[in-house]
Amino acid sequence: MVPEGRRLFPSLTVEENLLMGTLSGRQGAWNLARVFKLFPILQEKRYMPSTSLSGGQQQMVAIGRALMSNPRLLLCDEISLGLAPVVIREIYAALPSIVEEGMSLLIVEQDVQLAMQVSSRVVCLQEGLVSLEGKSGELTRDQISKAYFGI
Amino acid sequence: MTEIILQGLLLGGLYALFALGQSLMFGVMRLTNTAQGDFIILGGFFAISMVAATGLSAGWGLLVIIPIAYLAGYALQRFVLNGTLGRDPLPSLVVTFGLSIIIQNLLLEIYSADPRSLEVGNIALASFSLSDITIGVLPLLTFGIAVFATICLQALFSYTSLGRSFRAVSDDREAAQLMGLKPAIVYAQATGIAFMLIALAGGLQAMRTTIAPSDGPMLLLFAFEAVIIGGMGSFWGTLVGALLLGLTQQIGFRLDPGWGIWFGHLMFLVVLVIRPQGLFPKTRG
Repeated sequence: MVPEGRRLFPSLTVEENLLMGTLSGRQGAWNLARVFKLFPILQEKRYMPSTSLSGGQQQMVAIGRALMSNPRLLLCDEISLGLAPVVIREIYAALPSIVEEGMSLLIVEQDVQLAMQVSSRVVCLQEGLVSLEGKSGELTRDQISKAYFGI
Repeated sequence: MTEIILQGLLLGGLYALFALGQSLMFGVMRLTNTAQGDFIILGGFFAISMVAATGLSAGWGLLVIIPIAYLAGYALQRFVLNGTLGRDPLPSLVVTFGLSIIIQNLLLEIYSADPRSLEVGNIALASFSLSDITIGVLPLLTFGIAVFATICLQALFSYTSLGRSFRAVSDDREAAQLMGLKPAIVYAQATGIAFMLIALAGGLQAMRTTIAPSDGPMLLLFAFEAVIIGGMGSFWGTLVGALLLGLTQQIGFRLDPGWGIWFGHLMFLVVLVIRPQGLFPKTRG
């Protein structure tokens, strides 16, 4: 689970934040070394306080922390929130290598275009109800606009 | 002059032991234990009874009660104090204040108002001389234990996974729960460790001087002052705060035997006015 707003522990270092993910005790492919390979910048800053990182780097820590628990389904809530477009692209570029090994990824994302690009299935929710559902490649923007705004 | 400083620091070592448990509980769960002093006295009486009942020497008796104190602290937090935690600090203040009254009266009922002490034999009076200064063995030992306890606590917080859990729960309780931590258990462990320090402090206080059931609030005051002077939630800060308090009191005692404690309070007030966040604040907002 990658909570909205990252929710890192401010008094823990980058590495300590990542290690918090291991508390669940599930075994799997993800460990410190794998996370550092995915986000090399975190290895450089592993002993720094998590608050000293930029927003994008903090998001990487949040994703890495969630991966450390080796979930079958990774939930990402608004991981692009408040980040610069270039940073968002950088983070999204890392996602395919996470899915590669069979982990499922559920992303809540307001940027429709981005969501369509990275996902295999898209679900539009409106006031708690599913207003549109389908394979990402097969839906058109018009359909989505309609599902969103009802026009 | 050197002697005043030395005696002050040694006294401060004992105060540090009074205060470390307080500092730990506040640091982890923002809980202000207003019964801290009474728990110290309770620990002291418990040590006295333990030694009387088993015939152990005072040192061994103290070692035996420390793990018991852990369990007592764990249970107290798990079943009583956890229920008082929340955004509002008032419930925990009221409950620990109530505990303070209960403990005082319980001790009065069991042990009467007579002051007692923990007999340690020769070591209580033993001392050695360094040029023209005489240093008591027991105060020096107490000081050593205080410094050692501070080092252990700081290392526990910085380098162990338990310490990581303490900091994480203190930072963001909900996010810590998301990681699979159970705050109720983590809090209980923190209070357990705090109570080990409380028992240690109580035993050493009973060795150094006499203790009476009504002594608690005074010790609470010393613990409080040390924690706040040092900056809430930092163990080295607490140690330095306690040493400073001991030193100031000692200087006061030298000027006039009635001024010691008053001098300590005065210094505390000065720190509050000049640097209300304490000397080494580590607490995050």
